[in-house]
Amino acid sequence: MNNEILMQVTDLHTVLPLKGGNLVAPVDGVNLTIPRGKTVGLVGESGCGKSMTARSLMRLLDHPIRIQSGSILYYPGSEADLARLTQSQTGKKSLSRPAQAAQAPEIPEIPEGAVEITALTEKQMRSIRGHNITMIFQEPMTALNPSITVGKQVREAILLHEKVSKKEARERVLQSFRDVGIPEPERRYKSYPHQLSGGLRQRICIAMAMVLHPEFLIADEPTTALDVTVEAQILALMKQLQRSREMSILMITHNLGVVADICDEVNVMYAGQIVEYADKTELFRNARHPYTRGLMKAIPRVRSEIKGDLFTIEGTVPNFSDMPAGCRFCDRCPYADEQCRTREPQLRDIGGGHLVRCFREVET
Amino acid sequence: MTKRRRSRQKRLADMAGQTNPAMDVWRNFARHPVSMAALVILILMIIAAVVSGFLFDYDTEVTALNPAELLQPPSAEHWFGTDKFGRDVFIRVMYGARYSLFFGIVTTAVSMVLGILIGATCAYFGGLYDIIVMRIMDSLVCIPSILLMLTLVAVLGKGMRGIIIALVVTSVPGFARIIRSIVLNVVHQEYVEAARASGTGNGTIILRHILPNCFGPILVDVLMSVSSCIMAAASLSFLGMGIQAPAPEWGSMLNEAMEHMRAYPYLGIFPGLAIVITTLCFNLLGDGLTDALDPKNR
Repeated sequence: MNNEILMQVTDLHTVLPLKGGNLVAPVDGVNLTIPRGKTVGLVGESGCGKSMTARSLMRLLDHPIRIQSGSILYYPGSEADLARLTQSQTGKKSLSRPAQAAQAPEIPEIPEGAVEITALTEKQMRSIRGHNITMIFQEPMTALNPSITVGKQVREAILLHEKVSKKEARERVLQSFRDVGIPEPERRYKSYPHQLSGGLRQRICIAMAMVLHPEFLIADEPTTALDVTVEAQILALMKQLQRSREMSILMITHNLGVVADICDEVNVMYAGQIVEYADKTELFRNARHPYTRGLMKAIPRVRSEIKGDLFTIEGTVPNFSDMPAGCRFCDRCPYADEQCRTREPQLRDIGGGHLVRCFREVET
Repeated sequence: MTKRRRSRQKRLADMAGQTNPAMDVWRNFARHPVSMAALVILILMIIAAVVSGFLFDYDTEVTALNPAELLQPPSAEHWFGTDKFGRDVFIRVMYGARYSLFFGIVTTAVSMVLGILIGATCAYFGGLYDIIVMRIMDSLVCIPSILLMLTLVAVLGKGMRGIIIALVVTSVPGFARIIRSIVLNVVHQEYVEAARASGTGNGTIILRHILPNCFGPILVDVLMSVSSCIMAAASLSFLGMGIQAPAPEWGSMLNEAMEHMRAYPYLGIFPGLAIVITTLCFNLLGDGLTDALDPKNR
């Protein structure tokens, strides 16, 4: 068992085959480390591959999108889970490996205590989803089934993974409702989603995700659809749950305010790649990638005098099928020079574990 | 209790989060007098169909010839008159409900199950499977249904079995296509994804999360299909390819009535009315349910 790292993503490529045999890669060589018990932010504008990365981690990709190569190593926290997932994995190895090898020849040996998510069977994946790794979604309005009472929906998540009586499951659902601060849990148990407010629904979604005490929560813009007061409440709830349960969270958002509030470490994503990674304090004090700087400048401030329009980064994210040859940000970057247009920069450490994908980070 | 107080109570119950969706639908449905009337007529018809089996003896009262009472007009004794063999038309129409309702309900049930199976799996799994299966369905839809039915009955024989298979084969493709499009709307909802994210299997997702949310539109379609199956079965019998002569099927009764149309119109009017009323009632019921199930009206 690994005490520090929960998930290690290396060189992940998730691709979408287009008509005519071309591939585009919404996730293009992403590296991510999720430490145990910490909150990691994944920030970027719409269409940069944040959600696709998250879905890849749970292998929740819609056909024909698939993981082309890369490794997602998951270190289960409990010995029992590790045994369950590795035992059949080695048993299955002789069958599944050749096919896998043809696709991605360079899969390295799986380290001790780890599970390779990309090599698991669909059945094993189902046993992880909800139980070990779970996800909450952006729209609390549509993330609950309108034809089932919310209590039953949460109860179903328990019955799916554990052999307990319906009565016991119900008790645990009520307890999880109390944990996420739902008033009158007994009565809410029998409510249908359309009878609840947005904030309450998002609390139900969180209760559903947390009811099995997973060790890793992927939150895909959980507060985007909520108003700011409810957003603050939900973020406070997530922080409190994370602390009491020592859970890891991958927080996907485009809101740097949310990052500042809840995250420990931040990955900035642009056009399918991580362009900057740093500790939260370091990032906010000392952002080095021009894109991150642009994002920060674009935050409206309460005290600043408004002169003209809000700051925006010029242009839009390049199309995935038509990426610039060099740096993917060069067309929008005020610092770009000849080198940026021809050579692709790599992530490099500029000190203290602060990674930046830029040639000209010194000048910015 | 007055209507107003009741609706106020409903609102209060709704605010308290304690409504029963089935009751809501019923309350909305009960507000449409026409659909309610259709429902009552259909219930009466079903009762008549069931009861007629016990009330009348098939050999002596429904099909036996009675030369003493040929072609009598409607009277107190024979409500719908008698036909050219002296058989009581009222008894035959009532008995005929057994055939029509049976065909309508059984074939629709079978085609609904098959259609849901095909449509839902196509929409859910997609890919090559979807393409191949749906193209087969499309090619079945291309063939005029009456032609397809006649061919199938000719091959399979004119019995119950032949008619049911012919009706099922012609109605499944339509069902599958409609159900596929209904399911496609639901399949990309976030709660389906949320269910997958909590480790739910494909079968459970289709049965628990997708189909219940398609229930309304599917149900309406099913009721429409019952009426079209009744029509199709009657047409087959009318053309002499369905239920055979002495049996009191409405379509074959119409056929028999043709030669006496001028002199004894009631021979055709009553079975014809029976077909029209039954199909109309199923359609009206479907309309009423569409409104009642619409969540915006709840």
